[in-house]
Amino acid sequence: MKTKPNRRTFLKGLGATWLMAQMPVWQSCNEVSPAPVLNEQQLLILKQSLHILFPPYKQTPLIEDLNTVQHILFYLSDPNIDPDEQKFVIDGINWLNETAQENQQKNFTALDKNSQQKIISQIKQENWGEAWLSKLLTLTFESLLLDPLYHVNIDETGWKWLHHHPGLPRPKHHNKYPLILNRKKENIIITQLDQL
Amino acid sequence: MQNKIYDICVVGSGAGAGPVIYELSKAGYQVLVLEKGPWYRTKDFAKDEMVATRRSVYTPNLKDEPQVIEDLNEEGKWEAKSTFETGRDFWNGNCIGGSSNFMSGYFSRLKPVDFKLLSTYGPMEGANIADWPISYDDLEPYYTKVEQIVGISGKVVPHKFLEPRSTPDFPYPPLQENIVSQWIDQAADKLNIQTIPLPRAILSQKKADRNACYYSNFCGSYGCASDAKGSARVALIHDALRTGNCTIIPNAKVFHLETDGNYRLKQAWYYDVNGQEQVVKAKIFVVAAQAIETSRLLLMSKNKEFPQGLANNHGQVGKNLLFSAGGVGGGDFYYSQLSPDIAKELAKPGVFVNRTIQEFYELKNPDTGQPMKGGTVDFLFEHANPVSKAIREKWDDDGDLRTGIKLKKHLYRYFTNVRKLKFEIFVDWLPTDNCFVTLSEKVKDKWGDPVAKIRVGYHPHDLKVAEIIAEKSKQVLVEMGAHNIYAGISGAPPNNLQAGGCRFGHNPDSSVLNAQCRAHEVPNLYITDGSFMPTGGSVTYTWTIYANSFRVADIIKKELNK
Repeated sequence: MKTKPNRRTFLKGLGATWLMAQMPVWQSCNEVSPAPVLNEQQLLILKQSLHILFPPYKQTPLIEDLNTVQHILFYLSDPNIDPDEQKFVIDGINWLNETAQENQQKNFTALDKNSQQKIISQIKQENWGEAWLSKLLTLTFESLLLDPLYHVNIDETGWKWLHHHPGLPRPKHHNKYPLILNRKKENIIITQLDQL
Repeated sequence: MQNKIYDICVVGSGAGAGPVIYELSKAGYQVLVLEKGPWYRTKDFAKDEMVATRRSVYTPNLKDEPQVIEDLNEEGKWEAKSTFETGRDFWNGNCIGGSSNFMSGYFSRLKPVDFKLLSTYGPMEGANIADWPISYDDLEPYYTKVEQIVGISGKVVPHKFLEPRSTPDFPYPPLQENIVSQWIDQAADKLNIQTIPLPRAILSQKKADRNACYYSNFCGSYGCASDAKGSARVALIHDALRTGNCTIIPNAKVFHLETDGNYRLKQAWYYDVNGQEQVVKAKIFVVAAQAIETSRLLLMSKNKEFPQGLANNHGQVGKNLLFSAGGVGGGDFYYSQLSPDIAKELAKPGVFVNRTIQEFYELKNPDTGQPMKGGTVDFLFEHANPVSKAIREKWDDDGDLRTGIKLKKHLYRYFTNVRKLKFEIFVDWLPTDNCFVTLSEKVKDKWGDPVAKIRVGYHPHDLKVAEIIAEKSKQVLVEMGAHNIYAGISGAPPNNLQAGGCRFGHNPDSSVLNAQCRAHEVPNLYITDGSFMPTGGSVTYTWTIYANSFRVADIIKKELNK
């Protein structure tokens, strides 16, 4: 088995700082519409990569059914997530494109599906590439199987496909992430059960 | 509040703290609880994997509160890494009630032999085995008290290692079981292995304002929405608050315990929710912050009387840290190979497996032919967390990442055709000089305090015992007709089973606490989480931690009555 890199391995010693200049300013997580953390080209590379990782197949859910891209954008703009983890997702998009440019002399988005597939297979052999694809899969699985309250798994598409039955009670607005983190900000002294 | 002198100040609010909070409040003493985490109410607990496991909600953000883990690298040298770098940490539930909110509640008592491991089996090279300064008989009434007050369901079945009991059976009948429990029984019986029902700290019937289990299928890692699970929060702290004698300050991180110049504690310093330093006074202090953080707090509390840390003038604080050794194994059952009715029964969500094997609690040492301490096997289904299940299937058997249609086909088969039965092996984590807590010289938390550095060395004997039990456990799955049977034994410590670090004993040169769990060097300091344990036994710790905390509560009541 290949060595699974730790989560920060690729963020140190691998520059690509010029790419950061392409990024819009980070904004705080908004639960209705995520901040624009990717430019249009990065967004397209992300979508096309996800289509290869989790492609249309018979009656299985599409990433559009799961709102996967939006979920990843929420992740990238969540202030509670390690910024280096977020940066790695974006760096991976850029490094994928660099790989396409080096090998095909074209942007990833300009390649046909087969060529894109080859580039994805190629980076899978690299430690950073495997870690990046793995990260995208984790986020895809979240969009597939988390509660639709998080604007993913639309109409329970993922649950229905995999015959998953959620536990009860399901989350509601007051106890969903990240609002539940407000409990960590409560300045209270409890002396009675009634205060609960 | 700064001028008030409480009878007792408790640092932490989990299983080690709950019984003290409950008993002292009910006895009319003024109890103050300082808990570093927030107060999650029962209504906060939904079956939401995002909150329970996918984000840092019940545990700290590792950027704010890292730890340092020191492990052997490939060259055989100790290498320290921040948990912020690795993502691997020893935090559990940081909130009122602690990790007892999120436990699975597999409850087993220690056996009488666990209190006298050294005198029963003798010393072992490289291990700091010590007998406990109390016996099983001293703790038995408190095990029973936990059954009744916290609420344990189960059925007592005679077996070779059944511990002596003062009551004939559990106060609550067993929880409902899946059909697979019968299969385990039948297979084990053919192998001449006795299985027994596994007790759970989960109510099968209503108890006062706590409702019975409703079989949500999402128990471990999740807060309980019916209060059936016997967390310190609902089973003990709610009643303590009803007395009017208990005050709880959540989001209060204690960073220093200050003595009065005469080796007695006088006050505790903490950061409030706004990061401001606050101080409270009390006559007696109880620390129960879970083993690693308890040792850390003592080591941080240095002054002229205690230059190496509170109660550490003999250099014992943080030593002989324990986890639970063992490993996991399992096998698969395919619905497609069963009749539709049987497959439906096997797929039934929510109901439990609740089977354990304890007849391996003593084994014959294959090298010497002499008896040696063995362990316990608990059977359970793979957790129903869907995202976590999918993540585990990302890599194929060759270690390659699954992608594309191959991935989709695999996920579908896995989720719709497989039920995974697992077993967990618990054996003693022998105390050694290579498992301890110190303070990091480099890494600090968000308040600027040094974080815990944890060396996690294990004794090779732990693995030897677990391997023997794994082979026996796998035979049960073979007999059941399971597929893809496996077992993985390793020296990697589980993050949720911590003990030791401030062991109790008669000799201050080799222990931090006396038999009453009072610090040898600080007469008004008690430690009531798992830190006190010199050896951990071969079952999960929580029932023993609860029981000992009830025992110490009685000792403190007597002290305050003087």
